[in-house]
Amino acid sequence: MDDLSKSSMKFFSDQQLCFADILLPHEVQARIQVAVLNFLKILSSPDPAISDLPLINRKSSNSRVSEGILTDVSWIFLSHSFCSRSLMKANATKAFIRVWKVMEMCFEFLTQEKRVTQRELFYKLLCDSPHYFSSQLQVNRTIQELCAKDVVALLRCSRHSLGIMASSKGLVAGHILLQEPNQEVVDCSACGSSGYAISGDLNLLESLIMKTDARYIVVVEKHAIFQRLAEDHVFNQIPSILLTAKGYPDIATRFLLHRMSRAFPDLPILALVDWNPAGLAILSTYKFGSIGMGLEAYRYACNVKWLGLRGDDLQLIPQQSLAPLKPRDLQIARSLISSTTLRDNYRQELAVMMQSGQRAEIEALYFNGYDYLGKYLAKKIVQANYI
Amino acid sequence: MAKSMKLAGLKSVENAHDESVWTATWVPATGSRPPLLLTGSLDETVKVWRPDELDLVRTNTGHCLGVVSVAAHPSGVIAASAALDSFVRVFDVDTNATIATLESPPSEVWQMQFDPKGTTLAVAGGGSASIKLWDTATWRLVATLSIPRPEGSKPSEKSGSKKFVLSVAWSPDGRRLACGSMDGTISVFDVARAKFLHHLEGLYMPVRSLVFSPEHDSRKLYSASDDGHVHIHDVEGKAIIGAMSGHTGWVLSVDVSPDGEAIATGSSDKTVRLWDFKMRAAIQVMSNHTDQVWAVAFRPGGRGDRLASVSDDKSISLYHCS
Repeated sequence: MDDLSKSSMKFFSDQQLCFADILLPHEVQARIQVAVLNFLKILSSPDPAISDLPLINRKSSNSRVSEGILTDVSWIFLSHSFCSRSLMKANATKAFIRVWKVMEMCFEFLTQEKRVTQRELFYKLLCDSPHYFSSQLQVNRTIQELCAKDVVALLRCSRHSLGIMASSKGLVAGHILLQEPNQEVVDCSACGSSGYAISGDLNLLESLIMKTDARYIVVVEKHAIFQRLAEDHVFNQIPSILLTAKGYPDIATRFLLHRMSRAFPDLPILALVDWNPAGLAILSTYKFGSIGMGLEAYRYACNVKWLGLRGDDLQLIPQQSLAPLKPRDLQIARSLISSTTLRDNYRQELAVMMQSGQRAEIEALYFNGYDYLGKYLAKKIVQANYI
Repeated sequence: MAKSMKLAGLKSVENAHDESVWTATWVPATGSRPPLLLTGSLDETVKVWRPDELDLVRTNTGHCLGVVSVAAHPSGVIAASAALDSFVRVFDVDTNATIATLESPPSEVWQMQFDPKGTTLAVAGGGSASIKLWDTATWRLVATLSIPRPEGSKPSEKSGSKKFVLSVAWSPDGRRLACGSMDGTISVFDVARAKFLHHLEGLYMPVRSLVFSPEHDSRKLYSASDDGHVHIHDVEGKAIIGAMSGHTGWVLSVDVSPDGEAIATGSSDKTVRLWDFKMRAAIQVMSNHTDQVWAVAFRPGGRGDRLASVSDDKSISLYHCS
């Protein structure tokens, strides 16, 4: 009971520093039960006010903390105003009901100690409550309402705590041996160009036994580049581990990278991304966590350094491989610039990008020959040319 | 004068499969994708086709024997395929990810249909003389609706008296399930109480396909039988309302258009016939197939303007209805 009250007290802390907790199944179940009890309490009160129900309007400026049913512990309901209109529309009521349906289903999974992916959860909800669920997007949004929507979330626990497995796009290759408990050891340098697929199950990733003789970890933005580097066995020329999330990194890939950085603290982590705001955004996500994407993502930040492509590398590629920045690039750039976590030298690179109005992809290096990429990588690493 | 429907051939794919095509069903549209056609074949594959060009979207392998039935969930997201190896595979239509594999004893899996809400999958149980009901959220077998033994027969009698269940159909309101057997019996069950209600008598040859008329509280059931006729039954009153003749071979499949106006059948006489219920006669005969037509299926959804047919001749055909 002590732990429960302590964890509940945390919700009271500074609203600016909100994060989603990693909880044990019975703790999450307890939160679900309290959510239901609170809802019933509101419904059965003499003056049931819809405006006291959360989940509907989500502006941090409107959030307040309300008393929970456990008198010595304050609960995490952040109540919202301007709700009386929303429940009038059929869509809003369905969205409201969806939250309870998802909680119900997750409660069952927690009891069975089962883990599911968001897709599997969708199949079950589709068949169990066909009237309320018809698309994956609805399920994803509902989970966000429960776990991680700005400063407002009903249960305020991580998706992982709810029993929802991430699906992962990540791959690993190179000088590292991975072993799942009671399974065979996988040598990632012998996995071919496809590498070792990173599981979405964080528990499994937590239990992986890792051994390495590498000197560097190279995080690659794009799958094609990862494949090329793996095929060319670049990790043999310079003993290294290659990792990619095939674009914007998912939780599982970041989790594994974080584990690697703690297990092998002497290995510099170097990022190879395209020279455009999206590349820098990807790098920043590995570095700091998701910018503005929710409460959970701060957790697996790593000290990743920017190897390339950078402004200095532009002299290595032909003029014609530079392309104009798209409106989306500018949008990303603006949000990066406004972020307080961006370092000065990164800010400078971003400024050059925006000023030139151009972008370049890593593939542009192939202009100098298909094996140039490996040489480029080796040279930069040896010269410690990363920021 | 009532509007008369007409079929016009749109597209055919020869050698759609490597062997006879035995089953077909439409997958309803989802928010992100229009309706698709699923076909299953003796060649052990299930293929996904995009109308109207009948472009092959995907070939699903994995079954160990011929595919006897394919069924689609009303949401259009998932579908199921059943094979002679008595495995039912449930999969995501767009990604082909396997969602569940349902096992049954040999020869106890035949035709299948999802209920109109999508919460239950009914599987005609072949030699088990029953319909098996699987819950679609948990994929557990939640009920077995058994056809009771005929009165007076002893349990020790040969299982020749046990019915071999080939076909199954849900009523549109989900309250009734009908199944057709090799000996011509059609059995009707009350779903909510999981109880056998009664048999529909009058047929003595295999009933391979059943479909209810589409109005919500429908009591009208169409049956396709090896006796060459399509019968229309009142499932509550147990009477035969009518019969439609014309095929010169077994009627292997029957389907009704979403607006209830027209019925289509496929037969071992190699033809597809379009019938007008009110006139109780075939108003059109399509003879493009060169072998038995195993399945016909109207595309669901308001307009019901497409009909697909599949055949022993390995081809699939798509027709426009107007």
